[in-house]
Amino acid sequence: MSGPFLAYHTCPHCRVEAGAEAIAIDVRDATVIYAGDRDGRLALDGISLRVPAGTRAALVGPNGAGKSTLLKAIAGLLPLRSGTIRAYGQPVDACLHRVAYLPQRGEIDWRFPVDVKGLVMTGRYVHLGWLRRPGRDDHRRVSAALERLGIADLAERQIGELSGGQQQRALLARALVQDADLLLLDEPLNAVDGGTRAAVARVLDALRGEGKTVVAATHDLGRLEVEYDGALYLSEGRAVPPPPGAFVGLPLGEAFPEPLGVGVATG
Amino acid sequence: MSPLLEPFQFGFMQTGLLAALCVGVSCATIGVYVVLRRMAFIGDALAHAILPGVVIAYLNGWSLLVGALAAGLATALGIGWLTRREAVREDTAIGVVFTALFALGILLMSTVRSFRDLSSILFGNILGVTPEDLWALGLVVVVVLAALMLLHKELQLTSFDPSHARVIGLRPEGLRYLLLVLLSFTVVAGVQAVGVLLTSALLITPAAAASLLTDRLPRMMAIAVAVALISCVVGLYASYYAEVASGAAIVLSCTACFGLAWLFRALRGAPAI
Repeated sequence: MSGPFLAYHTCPHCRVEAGAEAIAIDVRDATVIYAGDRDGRLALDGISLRVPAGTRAALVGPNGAGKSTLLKAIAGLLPLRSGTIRAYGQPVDACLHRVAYLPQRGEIDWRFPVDVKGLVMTGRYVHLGWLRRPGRDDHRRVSAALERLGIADLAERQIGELSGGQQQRALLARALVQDADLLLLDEPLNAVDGGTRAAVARVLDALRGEGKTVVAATHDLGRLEVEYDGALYLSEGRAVPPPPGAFVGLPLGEAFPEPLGVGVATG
Repeated sequence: MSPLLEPFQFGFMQTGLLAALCVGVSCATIGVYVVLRRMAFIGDALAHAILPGVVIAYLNGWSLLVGALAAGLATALGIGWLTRREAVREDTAIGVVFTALFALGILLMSTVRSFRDLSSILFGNILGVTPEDLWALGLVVVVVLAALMLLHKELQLTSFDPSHARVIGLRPEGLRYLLLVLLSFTVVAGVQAVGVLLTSALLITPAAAASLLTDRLPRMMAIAVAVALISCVVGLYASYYAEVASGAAIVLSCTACFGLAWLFRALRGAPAI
């Protein structure tokens, strides 16, 4: 961990033990306007979401439902028009190293001349800060993460040579070396092969055992109950009731269904 | 005396060679980022936009280099600022600003009687570099190389994955400004060698040739530097023996290297980009 002098961002709250807080994400009445939209249309219209620490939550909905927008807002990439988002009790941009965000694959320039281990190493940057170069420990973590995702043999490949599934594994490996407590995944299993699907599911399951929290956007209703602990259904920027017979699991939203335990519902 | 060494018995050829080396190193290294981040148009715009600064400096008897630097920095920051707004598209804004500044430079030049003195600004005259200019060029190389080396991690990351950069607390816009400032330093160096009209060639062509040959960033920079250095030396010889314009000879040497790189890639069987 770098000293505050060289850090990209100083964080006064990080003395808190990982997993000490019960609620990893607490979104209340979040409203976000589409970027550059002059009519002020809402990409998120009063969403509330609570994800207990150490669980895997799915944001489910069709394209344009607001899943990506919500993840970006939690990652601190989009400003809120109203409402609040807290991660581990702090405002979204307070404890940056605790949050890992996996963008949709299209948001990365895969033609850039960097190899797979170079991409994964960027997960260590938040711990390195300015001027510091990766050391032996950083390289060891990168190798271990590549091993864990089953892509160690691709370490020297330029990132554009990877298949979609391999790219997704590389991004997850980066989130692992970042050692974040909260992982935000945007469509991690969109159009990937079965091997990647299994590898990603295995790692996410193991992360839960380590007390990490996972929030993933998906438009895939299949296997939700196997891969996630709870699901919030979105449509047109709002939370909607789950489709009949659909997986719900832990209550993540505000209004439905009935909260299971004391202190889970907001307000 | 050997024909290879003969030109360099003259002081102006020695200075020219050193200046060419400085220009080659700075243009080729930062040029790799210009190519990878698709900033070629901005580089071209910067080269044109420094013209009024140079002319104003000339008219007032100031150092041309200082005038160029001031205009380059103003343009870099202005482009950075303009493109943050969404009212005008980025390439449109750049097109409007740089043609206006270039026209202003031409207008000011037309008030000067001796166009000959200023033609070297348009077309470059690396053999007219003074020892003072050389010191400034050396400084540009040191600053550009040091910045690219010290900020390698951050420049690389913000180039291919700005979202991750932002999530971990970096400001991609800030690094973009920095790159624009470094670019304006570099462009000013390039103007000494090949003039405002051809400077973007020194930025782009060596880096483009290198990008055909490797997909590793450090290696790409090394190859780009080699291409630029070879081209500068070849251009100097051409200007000495064939008595052709040095700037144009340097640029065409770069183009020849690009052609060879393209051929090599095609023969090796890799799909050309």
